[in-house]
Amino acid sequence: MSELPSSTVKQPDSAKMSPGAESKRHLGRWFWGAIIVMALISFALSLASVMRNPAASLERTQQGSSDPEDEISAAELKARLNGANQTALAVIKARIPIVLDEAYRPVYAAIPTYATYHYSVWGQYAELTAAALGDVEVKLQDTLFTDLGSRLDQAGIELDASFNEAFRASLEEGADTPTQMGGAVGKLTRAAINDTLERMAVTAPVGTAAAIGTGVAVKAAASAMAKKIAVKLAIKTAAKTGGKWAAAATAASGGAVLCSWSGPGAGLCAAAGGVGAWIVADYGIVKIDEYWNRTEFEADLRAMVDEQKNEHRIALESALEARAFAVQELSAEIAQNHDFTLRELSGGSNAEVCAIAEDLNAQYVPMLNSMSARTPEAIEELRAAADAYRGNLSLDRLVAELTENLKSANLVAITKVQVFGNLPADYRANRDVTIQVLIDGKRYEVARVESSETGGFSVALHPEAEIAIEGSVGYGVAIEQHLRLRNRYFGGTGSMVLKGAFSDDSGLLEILPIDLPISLYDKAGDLDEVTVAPSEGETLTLEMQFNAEPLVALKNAPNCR
Amino acid sequence: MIRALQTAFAAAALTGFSLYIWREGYIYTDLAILALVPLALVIWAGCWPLALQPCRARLRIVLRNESPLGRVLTGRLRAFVLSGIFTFVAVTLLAWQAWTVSLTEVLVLSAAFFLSAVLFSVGQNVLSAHFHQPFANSIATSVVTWLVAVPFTLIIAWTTWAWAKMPGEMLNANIYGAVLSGVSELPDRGGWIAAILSVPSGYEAAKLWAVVQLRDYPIIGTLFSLDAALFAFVLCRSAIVIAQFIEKHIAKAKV
Repeated sequence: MSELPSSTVKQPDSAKMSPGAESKRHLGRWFWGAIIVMALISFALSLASVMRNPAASLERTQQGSSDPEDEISAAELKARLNGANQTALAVIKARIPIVLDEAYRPVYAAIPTYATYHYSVWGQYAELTAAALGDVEVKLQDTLFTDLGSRLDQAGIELDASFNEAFRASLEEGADTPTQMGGAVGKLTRAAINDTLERMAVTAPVGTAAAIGTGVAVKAAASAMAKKIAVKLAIKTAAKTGGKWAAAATAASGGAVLCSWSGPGAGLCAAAGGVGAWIVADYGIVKIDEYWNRTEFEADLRAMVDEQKNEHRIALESALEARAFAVQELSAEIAQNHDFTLRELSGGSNAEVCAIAEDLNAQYVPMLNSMSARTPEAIEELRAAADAYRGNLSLDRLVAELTENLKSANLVAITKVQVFGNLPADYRANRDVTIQVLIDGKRYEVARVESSETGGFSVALHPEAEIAIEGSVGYGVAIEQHLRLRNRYFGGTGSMVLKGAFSDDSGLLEILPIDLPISLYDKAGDLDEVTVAPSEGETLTLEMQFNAEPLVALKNAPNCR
Repeated sequence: MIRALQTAFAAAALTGFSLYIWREGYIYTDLAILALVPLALVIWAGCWPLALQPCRARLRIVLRNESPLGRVLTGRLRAFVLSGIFTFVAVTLLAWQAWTVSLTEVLVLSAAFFLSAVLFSVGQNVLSAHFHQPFANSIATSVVTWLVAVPFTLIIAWTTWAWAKMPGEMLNANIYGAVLSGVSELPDRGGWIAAILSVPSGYEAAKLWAVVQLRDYPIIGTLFSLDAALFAFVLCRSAIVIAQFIEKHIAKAKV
């Protein structure tokens, strides 16, 4: 197609060419020449683009042009951020035991030190004095828990940093998302990711939660452990005091004989002998106690520290989950402001979207402050209706919020149980009773109370048992009548379906009275062994108080005009 | 057919290299606009006969030979104005599209460009057997433009609607912020080129803002996509004009 090169054209023919053909030949040279030159420049520019150093690349990104092919949509960005969030959560949850072990290592190391103090004569007297003054935990705090609070705070901060790092690494890898884009993302996506990373640094940090909780928690732990130690100390002191008095009296009387030579000072000499014998006896008893019980004491301390460590683990996990949830909310907010396609935008018109949001809200609002509205059917229907709009550009945040709020909508708590009535007529007496109430398989015991032959008894307890609203609740009562020779046991059980149990005007609190027949159960030797479910007999009344938490009003409704 | 493919290839090479150098070079310097000069010249030169010759043919029929108006009404002024306007609009739009286009769109637009050039090259030969010149060329230009641009408008409209990413900040922006957002895609150094390109950029951003505000009416989004796809007409006409230039001035005459 192109003009032949001039060297290949014979001179005579060329001389015969018309002026038009000649100019066409020249133009052709210019045309192809220009294309060749531009091809070379393009090749050079491509090479420069490939070999461009990172600084220049950054400059280009900052200066403007971004390749839309590298950008991901809002839905993809959200999936990517949520994937990174879940990965970071999993990684950090696995790290919690490690950082807690590190924080608690000095505590475990100090247990033998405290045991040595505990099994010394001085330690015993110091502990007894502290117990009398009510501050046994001070020594415990100083020995075992020195700096534990700050170490736990540091652990929280470290977990925060690790969470951020894991989140960032997961995002950069892009390995947890459907997009599988690797690290190469467009300018807008990069800006959204950077925005997330910056804002999540101040979003519900675990370090802050830990700093609020640890100081108080450590003191509470020390106090709880101190109480247990004080109880043991009191039992032990009572047991050995008699022996020491005997030893001291023996030493004092023997001393009086031996000190008779001292004349008027004999009394004083005998008293000194008695004190010395007291201390020697005390030392001996402490050492014998240490020989037999130190291992068990240290094991008890370790178990208590284990328990405390476990509570901290649960607290840190909860704080991390709260953080992950906050980051998820943040991701949704950022993703909503990220790129979208017109197809996503026109997923529904604004009027349609607003109508859907209003409909969801209309189903949700009655549940805010009413237990009776929270029927399993209503909750499930609302959940299904919300799920249908998951992924919708305008409704996704509302759906996520609804789903989260509905998690606790189906729970009610039994906050108080009042039991009153009397024993079967043949067994009534003016004798104390101990009552145990069974709620949903768990036993709650009430301290011994008076019961009269005529008036019976009335007790209240606060079990705080959580029950799913769609289920039924099992209940029961076990009663121990305290007699002089052999106690009697009575009991009764039943169950109640919660569905439809609450009246429309109950709001978030409802007291349901239940009649419970009881009968004698003579096979039991203990309250825990009482298992009887009579259908008739003397009837007790259980007043069960049900409470539900109010639901939070929806905040993420789309902007409706 | 081979000749038509060669013509289309040459047209695509000229346009592709020119726009690529512009796109890559404009990041660094305004001098990158020099890469558009060959393209502009070719479009102008290709447009010129297409605008002039049909007009002259009509004038030959309309004007008497002895009329002194023949010296004034040569059709050159009209051809100059039309060629100038088309060249300016086409080069500006091609340059702006080259700056913002995605890889998927490049593939679709390249197919439209190549097909237009091939069909024009083939079509004018076929039509020459039925129509006198220069009307055969005019008819070929018109027919091929519609034949290629209409389906590709729909294809581009679909890809714009379904796949093109719109900046999320539009969801909450006011009109001023939306226009600024559109203009911010251009290099910060400003300059007269940026001033020219800011017109289509700002216009597109304002349209997108309107689409977001009128979410009540999904048809608006469809119209926006169709409007964006109308560029296909300019692209097809440019391909034809360049192919016409190559056929007329570069390719060897048929033996």
